[in-house]
Amino acid sequence: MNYIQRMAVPDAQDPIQRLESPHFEDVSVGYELHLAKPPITRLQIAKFAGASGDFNPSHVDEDIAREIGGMGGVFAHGMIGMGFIGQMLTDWLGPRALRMFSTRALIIVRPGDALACFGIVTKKWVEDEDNLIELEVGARNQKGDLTHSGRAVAALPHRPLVIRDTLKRPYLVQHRVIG
Amino acid sequence: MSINMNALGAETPWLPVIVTQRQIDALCSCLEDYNPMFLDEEAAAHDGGVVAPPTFINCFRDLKTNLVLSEAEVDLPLLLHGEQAINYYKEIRPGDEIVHKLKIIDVGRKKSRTFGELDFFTVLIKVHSKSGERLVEATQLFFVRDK
Repeated sequence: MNYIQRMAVPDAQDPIQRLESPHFEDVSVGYELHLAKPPITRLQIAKFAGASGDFNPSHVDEDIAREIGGMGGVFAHGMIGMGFIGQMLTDWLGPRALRMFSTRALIIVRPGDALACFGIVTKKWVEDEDNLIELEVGARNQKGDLTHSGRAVAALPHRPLVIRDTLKRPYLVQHRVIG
Repeated sequence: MSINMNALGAETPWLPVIVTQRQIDALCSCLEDYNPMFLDEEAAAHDGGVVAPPTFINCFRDLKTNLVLSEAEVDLPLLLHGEQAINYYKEIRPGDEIVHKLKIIDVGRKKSRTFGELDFFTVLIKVHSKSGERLVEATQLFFVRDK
């Protein structure tokens, strides 16, 4: 059974995920990422509780959340939003490029809130042998309020070195021979 | 109710876990992230096989609730997640035998953006391979409301 059957992946799922990282030389500062997720459901919150083991009643028990939590009912784990931002990053970067990823949960996300994730490349540099990019990331709810803000650093490959035909001049070849 | 400031330095032992595809499926299903690199051995074969998504570290918290409840004496409904920073050293794959531990590395009181002055504590989470190689390490900052 393939994963589409195993996970009952909806037909409408946009197959934008890439299997390889973008090349470092193709990415410029200012490049933007976006991922709009559908409204968060109570089912999703329950699933995250199961996946993470975080059964804090603030997220899963409406009664306790109202009476003791005092936040006016259940709200989503902050890490669900971070997971969405992570998805935006791995959709573009591929699954193994991330070196650092941090988020700050700013305001509560409730069932029914739809998060729009965003990222922008803010820096490009080389450290030791790694080609690194830094991104500012975050998410906004349907009212436009910032729910998460954060930062990510990823290492990207450069295309392999190729001596182009136009550069295959006698002196270049000689130079290589001479060393 | 304030938290127990003596929780500073409290830690769990290293706990061995075997990473399963089922755990990864559960997280991906929740996030509705159907990237085949997390789910499909065949599609991921050219890249050394399936890897765990970047926020998979949240699935290693078997001991966190115990640490938080018994050492920091936190009333769970008053707990708020503040920040999380994750550093990646090497990918985690299904079938990996890993060990993980948690430690409370900071406690105190400080201002939050939304709720004024609150108690906080920071948990360090380390995920290493069985042979001691660093895979992923993260810190999580939590706030605890006074009520």
